[in-house]
Amino acid sequence: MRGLAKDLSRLVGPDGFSTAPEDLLVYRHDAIGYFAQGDPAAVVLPADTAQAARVVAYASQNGMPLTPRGAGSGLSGGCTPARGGIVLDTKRLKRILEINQGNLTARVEAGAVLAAFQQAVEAQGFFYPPDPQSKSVCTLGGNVATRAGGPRAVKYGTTGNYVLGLEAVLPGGEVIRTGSACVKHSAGYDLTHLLTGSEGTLALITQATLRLIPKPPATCTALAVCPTMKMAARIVSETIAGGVVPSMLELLTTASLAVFNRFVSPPLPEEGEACLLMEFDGTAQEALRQAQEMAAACRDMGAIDVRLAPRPEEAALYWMVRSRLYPLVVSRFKRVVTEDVTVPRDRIPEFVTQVMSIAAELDLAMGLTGHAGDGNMHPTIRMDEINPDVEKRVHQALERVIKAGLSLGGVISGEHGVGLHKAEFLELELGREQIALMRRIKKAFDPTGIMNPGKIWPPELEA
Amino acid sequence: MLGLEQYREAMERCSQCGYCQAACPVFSQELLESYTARGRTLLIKAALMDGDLPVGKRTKEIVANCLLCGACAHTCPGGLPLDEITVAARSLLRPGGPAASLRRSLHRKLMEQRGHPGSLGKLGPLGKTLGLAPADLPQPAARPFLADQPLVLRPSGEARARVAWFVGCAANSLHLDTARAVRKVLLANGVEVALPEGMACCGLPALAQGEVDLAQDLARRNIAALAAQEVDAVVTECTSCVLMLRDKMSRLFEPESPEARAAEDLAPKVMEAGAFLDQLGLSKTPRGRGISYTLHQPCHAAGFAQQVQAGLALLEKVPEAGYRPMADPAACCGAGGDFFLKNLALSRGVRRSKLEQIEQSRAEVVVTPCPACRHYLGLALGPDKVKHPLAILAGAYE
Repeated sequence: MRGLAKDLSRLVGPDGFSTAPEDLLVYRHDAIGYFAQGDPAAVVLPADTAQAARVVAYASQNGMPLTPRGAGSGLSGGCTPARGGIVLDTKRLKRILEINQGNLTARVEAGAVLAAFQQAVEAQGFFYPPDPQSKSVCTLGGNVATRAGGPRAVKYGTTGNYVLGLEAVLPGGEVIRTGSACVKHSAGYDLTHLLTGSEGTLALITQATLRLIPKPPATCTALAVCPTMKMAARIVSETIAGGVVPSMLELLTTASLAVFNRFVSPPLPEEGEACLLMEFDGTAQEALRQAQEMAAACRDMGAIDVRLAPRPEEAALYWMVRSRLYPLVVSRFKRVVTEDVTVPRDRIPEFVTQVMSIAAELDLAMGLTGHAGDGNMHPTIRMDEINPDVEKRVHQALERVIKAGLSLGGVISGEHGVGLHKAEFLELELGREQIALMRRIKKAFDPTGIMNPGKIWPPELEA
Repeated sequence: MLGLEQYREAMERCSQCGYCQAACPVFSQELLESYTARGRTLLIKAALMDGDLPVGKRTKEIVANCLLCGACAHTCPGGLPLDEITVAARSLLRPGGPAASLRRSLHRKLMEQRGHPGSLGKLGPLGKTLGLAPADLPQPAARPFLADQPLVLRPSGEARARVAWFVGCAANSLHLDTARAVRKVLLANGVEVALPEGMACCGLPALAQGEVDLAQDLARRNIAALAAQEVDAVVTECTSCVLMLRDKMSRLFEPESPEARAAEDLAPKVMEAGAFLDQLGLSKTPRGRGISYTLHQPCHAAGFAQQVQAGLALLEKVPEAGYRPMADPAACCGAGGDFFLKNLALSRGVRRSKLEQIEQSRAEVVVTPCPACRHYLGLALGPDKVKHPLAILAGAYE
C-alpha cells in the first residue's frame, strides 16, 4: 500500500487522497446505512479534470477498480467500491463555471452541489428543475450519472432532460467532450445521453453543460388528506387525465402528517391512509387558481381536509419536511428498504392495490409514498427486527413489487439507478438481448473493466 | 451521562443519508467525508466501541476535527445527538500524563473562577512572548467584572421584573464592555438583577475538551446558585451559556436524577438577555444615534434562533440604526470556542467566506451574542468592529 500512497501523492499531491482506514470507512457506504460494500484501497479527491484524468489512467494501467462518487447520497449502492480499488470522490470539482443568460445554459463541474447550483441559477431569474430530495448535498455529477429526478419530474422531467453536453474521462485517461451548448444537435451517436445514467460504468463525468429555463414567477402549495390510499391514487390519475399538471405531486402516508404538524398550524388531521402534497406554478394568479381547482376536486372526491399554502415561507416548510421524510423514517426503524419502481401514471391505482396486497400477504409493514405525479413510487418496507425469515419475506416482496410494476408497463428504477441493489432484477425489465448489447457497449468503452465494476448487472451476466 | 455506550442506539439509527454534509463547516473546507458526522460516527463506533479498528493518531485527529457547533445535529433528519457523540468520544480519548493533568487543573481553576485566571493572568503575555501560548489567545482584563458588583443591582424606581443574570466567563473576564452594556440596558428598563454567589463557568468549554466530570461539577454549582433564586427569568448575554443552561445541562446527568430534574426545572427560565428585554418591552426609549449593523448568528443558537432574532428586534428601536443582513447569518465564523487556536488554517478557511459576507453587507459593525465569534471575527476586522447586540442599544442610552 505504501507504493499506492506514493503514487497517488505524485498524481494529486499529499492532500488529494487518503489511504487511512479511518477515512475509508465512510466510503464503503452510500445512503443505505446497513449496507457497506467493498474495501477501498484509497479515496482520491482530484482538484481538476487533469488530476482526475491522471488518476483514471493510473487505475487503468494498474488494473485497479475505480468507483466514481459524488455525495454518497445515493440509494442503490451505485457509488460503493464493490470490488475495492480507488474511490474517486468528485466533491472538490465543485465550481459553477458559467451561467450563460443569453443561451439559457450553465456549465458546472461534476462535484457542484445541486442546491448551491439551483440557488445561483435562481438568483439570476433562471430555473433548473431536477430535484432529487437529497439536493442539499447531492452533486450534479451524481445526478447525471444516475439520471436522477424528484418531485418536479411530473411537469419538468428529470436530469436527463437537461443535459446538453458532458466532459468525461475515458478509462484510458483521455478526456472527451460530448454534445454542445446548443439546444439542437444531430451529429453522430448521442454519447451525452449514453453517459447520462451510465452510473460510472463507462467513463468518469467531470463537467456538464445543462439547460436552464425561465423561473416561473410564483408557486402555490396544496395538501390534501385522503381517507384511503386508493382514493389518493385515483385523484392523481384523474387530475393528470384532466389536463391539470402540478409542478410537484407527492403521495405520502398519513404518518408524515405528524411531521408536518411540528411546523404548521393549525394542525392537520392525522387521519386516513394517505395525503397528497402538491405545488402549482405560473403567475401568482394561475398558480392559485390551479391550486383552488385541485382543492375543490379533492374535496368532491372525499378528501378529509385540504390546505392551501400560497405564501412561499409556509410552502417552504412543507417541502423542507418532504425532503427529510426518507432519512427520518429510516432513523425510526431497525432497517428500511425502499424501491423506486415507476409505472405509467394511469396505472397508479392498480399498482397501489397490488402493493398493498403483497404487503398483507407477506405480513410486512410497507408504506407507499412516491412522486405520484410522474408514476415514480417508493414502496418502503419497514423492519423492526431483522432475522432470516423477515429478510426472506422482504426479498420476496421486492421481487413481487418489481414484477407488479413491470406487468403494468413500468420500469424497475425511475430515479435511483440500478447500482448493486437492483442488478438482479435488470434482466426482468430489459431481457438478455438488451443486456448483451449494453455489455458490448461497456466493453467498447472500458475493455479492462475498471469502471465501477459489480454494478448494473449481476456477476453472472458480466462476462 | 455522556458515556459513549449510551449513544449506541442513536448511532445505529443513523441512516447514513449524508445530509450532515450540508451543514458542517469543517467538511466544507476539506470535503473529505470522514469529517462529516456520518463518517465520524462510523469511525467512533468502529474504533472506540466495537474494536474493529485500532485507535490511532488518525482517529484522534478526526474526533478532534469538529467545532462542536451542532449544525449537523440540527440538520439531521433523524434528530440524532451527533455533537454529544463527539463529546463522549473526546472524553474517552483524553490524553494522560503530567502535562495533560497540569493543563486540566489550570482549566478547572479558570472555569471555577468564571474565566478569570486571577494571579495566573500574568502568565498569558509571558507565554505568548515565549511562544508557549498562541498569539491569538485573548488577554483577560486585570479585574473581572463581577469583582466590583453587588449581589443585587436595583433599578431606580419600581422594578418591572426580577432576573438572575448568569454573567458568562467572557463578559466577566474579557469583554467587560458587553457586561457593562447588559447591566445598563437591564437597569434602564427597570429590571432588578440578581448576581447569585457561587456561579461558575457554564461548563460548555469543559465538554468541548471531553471533560464530562468537570462539566458536571460546574453544572452542580450553577444549579445550586440559580435554583434558589425567585426570579422571572435567568438571563445571560452569551449564546453558548444559553445552550448549556437551557438544553444541555440536564443531559449531563442520569435521567430522573435530582440534578437532571433541577436542571430541567431551570431550563425554561433561561433566556438570552436581549430576548428577555424584547419580551418585557423597553420602558426607556433609545435616543442616541445608532450605526448600521449586520448580525452573525452563533452556531450554538441554532436551537433558539428566534431568541437571537428577538434580541435583534430591540435594535430596530434605535434611531438611525440600520440592519443590513448578510447572505447567511448562521454560517459558521470558524472560531468554535478555542478550536481556532489549534486549527489555524481550517478556521481561517471557514472565516474567509464569512468575512466576504460581512463585507458585502456594507454594515459598519457586526453584532453577535457569542464572545468566541466576537473575538475571532474581531481578530480579522478589528476589535471595535464586532459587538454584542445590546452594546448598540446601550450606546443609544448615553
